[in-house]
Amino acid sequence: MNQNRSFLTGTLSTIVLALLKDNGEMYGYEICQKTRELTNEGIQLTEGAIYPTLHKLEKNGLIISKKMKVNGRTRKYYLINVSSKVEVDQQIHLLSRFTIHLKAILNPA
Amino acid sequence: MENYHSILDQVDKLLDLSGIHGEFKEEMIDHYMSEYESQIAEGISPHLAARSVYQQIAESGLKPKKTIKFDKQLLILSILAVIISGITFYLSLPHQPPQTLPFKDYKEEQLTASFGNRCHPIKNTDVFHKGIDLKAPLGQEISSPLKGVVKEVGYSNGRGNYVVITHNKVYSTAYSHLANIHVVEGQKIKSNETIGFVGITGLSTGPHLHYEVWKNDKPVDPIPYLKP
Repeated sequence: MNQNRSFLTGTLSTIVLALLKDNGEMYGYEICQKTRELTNEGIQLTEGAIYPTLHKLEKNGLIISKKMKVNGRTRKYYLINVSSKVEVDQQIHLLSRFTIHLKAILNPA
Repeated sequence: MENYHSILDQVDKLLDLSGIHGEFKEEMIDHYMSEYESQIAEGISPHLAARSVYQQIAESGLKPKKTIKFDKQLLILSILAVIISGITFYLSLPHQPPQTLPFKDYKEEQLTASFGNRCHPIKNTDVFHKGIDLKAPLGQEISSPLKGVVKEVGYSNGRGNYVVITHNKVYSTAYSHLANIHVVEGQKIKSNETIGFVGITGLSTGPHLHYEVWKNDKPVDPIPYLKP
């Protein structure tokens, strides 16, 4: 995780956007779990990283949130803001293209 | 379920202690309680699951979300404080009184009539003398003791040719019996700039300057303000 942190700083918001795009509504803990699961525990997001990222994305209008009561506590779900869909798709596209370039550098054929 | 609520309360308290409040705390409570539930689902005992969650809160290094906002408020407050203290300082600045007489050189024997009640030399009755009389040769240069703005230039039977200068919000000065006047109304005057020349106009027995200092619209004795 510690080694991953610097790689995550520039990509975390796009990772979150991609997860929300594929899974619809998600809450913070769910995003952490899903990431662990998908990466076979290779990437473990901390609460200190995920929530500030979610709040920033919400503030920038890329995602929106809604609240729901679960077991007597409030759960906040996040979802892609429909009116920012083009911007979100563009951002995900740019990151996936970047990873292809990275692979080409790290594993030259 | 009782156990669940006591753990939720404990999580709530720990977050309070970390300085996390409001909506963000609600969200973090859900996060840690989700973690707790997830561990229970994996078959971990409630006691151990709770311990593990408390440990996570302690190690999370969560920072109060308000930190930046608070700093901004602090910045705005400091700026306000600086502005207010600046204004207070400006207002507390003493308004300088005229500390010299309007002659470039002056000898004590020139003072022929001082401030206050006296018998008027021409009217021959007791009147209040609103200024001082400075005997001087005809044509002696009169200069402003302080910078200011010419408030009034005029002639009256009593004062002859006269000039009034406003120096600041508190002090103004007046000059009477001038032979001629060198300034116009509204003119800005530097310290030591020539206003006019000593004369014998108005009610006057000989060439002299009648000089007045006004403080907050009341005449005061100019002598105590003079620098030694």
